[in-house]
Amino acid sequence: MSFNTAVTQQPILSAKNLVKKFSSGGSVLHATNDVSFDVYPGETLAIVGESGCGKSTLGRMLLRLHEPSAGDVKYEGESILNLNGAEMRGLRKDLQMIFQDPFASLNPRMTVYKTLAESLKIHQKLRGQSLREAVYELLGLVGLSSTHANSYPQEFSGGQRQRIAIARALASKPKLIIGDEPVSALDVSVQAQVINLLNDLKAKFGLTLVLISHDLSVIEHMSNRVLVMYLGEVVEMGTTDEVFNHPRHPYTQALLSSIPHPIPGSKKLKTLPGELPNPKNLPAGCYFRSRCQHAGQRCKQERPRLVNLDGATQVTGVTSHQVACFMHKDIPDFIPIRFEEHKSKDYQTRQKLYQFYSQKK
Amino acid sequence: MERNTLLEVKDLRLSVNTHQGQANILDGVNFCLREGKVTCLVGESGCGKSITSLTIMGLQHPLATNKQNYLQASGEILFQGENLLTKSDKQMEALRGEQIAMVFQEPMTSLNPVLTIGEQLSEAVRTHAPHLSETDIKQKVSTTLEKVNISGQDRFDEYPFQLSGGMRQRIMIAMALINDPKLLIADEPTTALDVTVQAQILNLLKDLQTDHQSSILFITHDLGVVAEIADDVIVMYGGQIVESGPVEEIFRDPQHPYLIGLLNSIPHFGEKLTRLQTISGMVPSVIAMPEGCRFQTRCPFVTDKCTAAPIPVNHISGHVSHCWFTPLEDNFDLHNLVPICDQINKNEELLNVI
Repeated sequence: MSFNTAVTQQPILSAKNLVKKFSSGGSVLHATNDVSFDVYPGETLAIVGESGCGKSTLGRMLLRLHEPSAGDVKYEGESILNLNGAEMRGLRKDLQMIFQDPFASLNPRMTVYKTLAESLKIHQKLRGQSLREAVYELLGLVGLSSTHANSYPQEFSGGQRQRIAIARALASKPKLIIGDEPVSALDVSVQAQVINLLNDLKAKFGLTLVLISHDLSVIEHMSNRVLVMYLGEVVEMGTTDEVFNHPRHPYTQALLSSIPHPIPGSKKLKTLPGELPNPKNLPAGCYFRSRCQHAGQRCKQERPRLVNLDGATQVTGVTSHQVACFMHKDIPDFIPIRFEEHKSKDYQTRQKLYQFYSQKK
Repeated sequence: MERNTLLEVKDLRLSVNTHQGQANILDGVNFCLREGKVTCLVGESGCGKSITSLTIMGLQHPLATNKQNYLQASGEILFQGENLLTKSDKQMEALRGEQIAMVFQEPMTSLNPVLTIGEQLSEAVRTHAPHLSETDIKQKVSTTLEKVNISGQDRFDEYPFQLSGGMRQRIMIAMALINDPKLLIADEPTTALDVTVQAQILNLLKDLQTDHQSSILFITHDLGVVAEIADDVIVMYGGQIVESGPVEEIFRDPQHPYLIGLLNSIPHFGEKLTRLQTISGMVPSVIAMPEGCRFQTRCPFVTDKCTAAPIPVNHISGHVSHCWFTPLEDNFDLHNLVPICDQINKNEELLNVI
């Protein structure tokens, strides 16, 4: 799936200058500052950042699980902030969420059948035989069998529970799903199964995904566009290829060079000095400057805004690469680690055997 | 025992009686830790990697304690030639923190929230060196804090809640290293941390290891971290060791089907795949583990042989694989199978991919 075909002109969801402040003990915590972006139908947009950067708050504001302090969220051109409770509930049919922890997001006192049927009854008005069939179909979609229907969440493993949570999100036939770290709590081999499942379902139903994650390799694998956040601000945004291969913001570069790769011999990771500033007491100027080795005079006084990069292309109105940094022209190019062929010849044979026998089984 | 071996675990078995039946948590675990090297114990949740480390620390100690805790262990854990499993609680207490120290996963819950950093670190020194004066202790604490890149004096009176996650983990590492242990066990020390902080901590551990020449047993589920820090790797699945060896060999020339499947399922950077290869199915419940090789329920190469025990151990180019069919390419053939397979179209598709 290429980025060009995935995007049409009208955004399905837009965030306009979203601000969220939490008051805490007399002071104000700025969770997100003036975040704007569009989500286009059929794409996967990833929001990436470290803990405390405001990515979860942002995701929740998109569904009004948090009320924004300022700014607007538009779904298909209409603001959702003015809707009353009943209207919002109607809209939840289209906008669904998958949460990080499948051990906490499922009701332990409801069987899987009840969990899935609840949404089908409310949103699809299904009853009786057709309800039963719809529940079994959903279970089939996420790779569970109908014998699982009468079990309680605690009888399932983490991966299975996340499948149930995905089935529940799908029950209302949504157009957009927001996944807040949907695979972070899972083991690698199970994580790969859930990633494949999400990709398959997305292709099957033409879903739009907003993926919140801190795992850069998962994002690189799943998303079309990426939005990098630092301390409640978007520092870089663009297509996955652009951002991962030619990052222009020093923070994105630092983030990319601190991932440990599963290749021995690439010893010693580059590290970012210092710590995240306190979001209750934000520095003047660029928020990243306290940890940035390229920071200049202007970075102390002004806050950088997202600007289009020279050479960025426009595809149906979407800019391929934007960065919020005054120094971005002076920052040296990032050299991504290339995956060198270090596999032994026998290992490659074994991999083929593995693939072959897995399919045969 | 080989020279340079600090710790040797021999045929360690651990089982517990549950309501549903006997659970064999560890099933014949054997490994050696080399002196002055970092060994990574890697596996998915529930594979027994944490319980192995807790058993070494004596924090899960059925034989020595006589407590009615329904745990049974057999085998040997030889630390510098002495079997830790036969030591009493008191003897273990003297060893813990002095010779063997541990860093836990969750730095917030493993520090005492009502004591200052200085007090907690001094306590570790005082317990094992009661003859030291308070000024000497304080001196030792500040030098150790400097080693983990925390400027000593001003942090002395701070409480854990005033520190960030990365800072807390540094304090934990300082606490573990303060008595110069021979063996440091780190149980997922970076899992709760962000990538940039994780990189700081990994570099710190590596530097400290080079300075102190102590051995580290590093437990993790992240193969990227393994490649970064390990000298030797031990891969576990369902309470058994499936493969072990030097880190380059493990990644360059993996033998066991589980390890091949595990390496397949990580999304690699810069490698555009439409689908990730997965290991089908899931880990069986610990009370319903199959006889023989425990990976057989998910292994694509499974045959009738796999239920037999003991599983043969094959030494191949410096590393060890626990599988009946090592090396796989000598036991299974891609080309001979093509004609007998009924899904011819699928095969052609597959061969094109290959």
